[in-house]
Amino acid sequence: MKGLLFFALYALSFSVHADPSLSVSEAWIPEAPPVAKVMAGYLEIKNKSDRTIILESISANDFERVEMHQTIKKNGMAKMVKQTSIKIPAHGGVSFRRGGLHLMLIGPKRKFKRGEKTRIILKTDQTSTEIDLVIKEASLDDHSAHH
Amino acid sequence: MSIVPKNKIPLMVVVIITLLIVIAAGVWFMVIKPNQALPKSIENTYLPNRRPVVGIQMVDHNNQPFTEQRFKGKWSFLFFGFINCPDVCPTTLLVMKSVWAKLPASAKQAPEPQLVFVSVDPDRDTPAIMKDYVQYYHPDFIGITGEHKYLDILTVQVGALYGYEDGETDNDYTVNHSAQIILIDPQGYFRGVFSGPLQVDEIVKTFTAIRDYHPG
Repeated sequence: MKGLLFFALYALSFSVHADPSLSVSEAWIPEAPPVAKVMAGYLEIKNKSDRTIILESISANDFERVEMHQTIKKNGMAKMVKQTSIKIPAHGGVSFRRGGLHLMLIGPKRKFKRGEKTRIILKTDQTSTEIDLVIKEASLDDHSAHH
Repeated sequence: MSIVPKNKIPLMVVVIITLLIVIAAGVWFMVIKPNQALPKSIENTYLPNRRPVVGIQMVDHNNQPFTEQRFKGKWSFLFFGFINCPDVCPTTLLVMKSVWAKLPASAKQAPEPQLVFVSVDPDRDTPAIMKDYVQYYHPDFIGITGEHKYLDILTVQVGALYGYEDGETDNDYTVNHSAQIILIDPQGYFRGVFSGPLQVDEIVKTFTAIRDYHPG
């Protein structure tokens, strides 16, 4: 069993690389109160290729589980709707931002300090790609506006 | 002498008409006119007809009872949310933290404002967890929660809604909740609604104007 797990991890380490057709920027996590069992993750993903890429799932060593959610505000109610996959159009992009699409980083396995990074793996219908999210001070600034 | 009764009748009519005019004017000035005369700056937020908020039996983040008495003598901003809410709740608390920083000194004098985060997820959000959570955003913020029947008593009176949606495991459900901020006046009446999108400068301006306008 242990051997199998090792093999799985070994195989995974080879399949993980940066997908040249994806470019990720402004990947960050707002600092959260230490009691928070769920953190948000935000990022911008661009698809430089000629075909639609489907983001199927996200995993991370520092969290029990990562989900993609859409915040919907309707008739004064806020609601989060889990997304099973996200289409990234050819030569287009997808924004994970406050008040909209966001990552739900569930069950942090450690404490994070400001400036630290944590790695997540984006699994698409084609490849897997690793990216680092930076822990930043929680502020209302739209971090994507700095660039 | 037959002139006297003739004179008496018109006099009665004059008295009755005068009384009716006085009553109508009273109704006009006390009930109708204030509704129409709300300043532009607050008309989308301030409720001209106050509504009582009573029967509140909640517990605060220090495990102390929180009843409607705690609304008296303060302007209370109520926000309904839950701690396992990564996007909307932190954003709203950051907005309110920023509002607190930007409020002019005059708006912070008695009756001073208080931010009350109402957790509609009492099964997971204990007072101890709430304390760490709300005070992370501002040391003066207050967290309250309560049994579902008392949460309902509060939410119904201020027009707030909440509900649960199942997640993958029993403890993994998500909570849908009203996104607006409810304002309760220092007399303890439901007095206003800040609807989204919540803008810091807008809230500061409107609240300052409400303080200036509000009687007492």
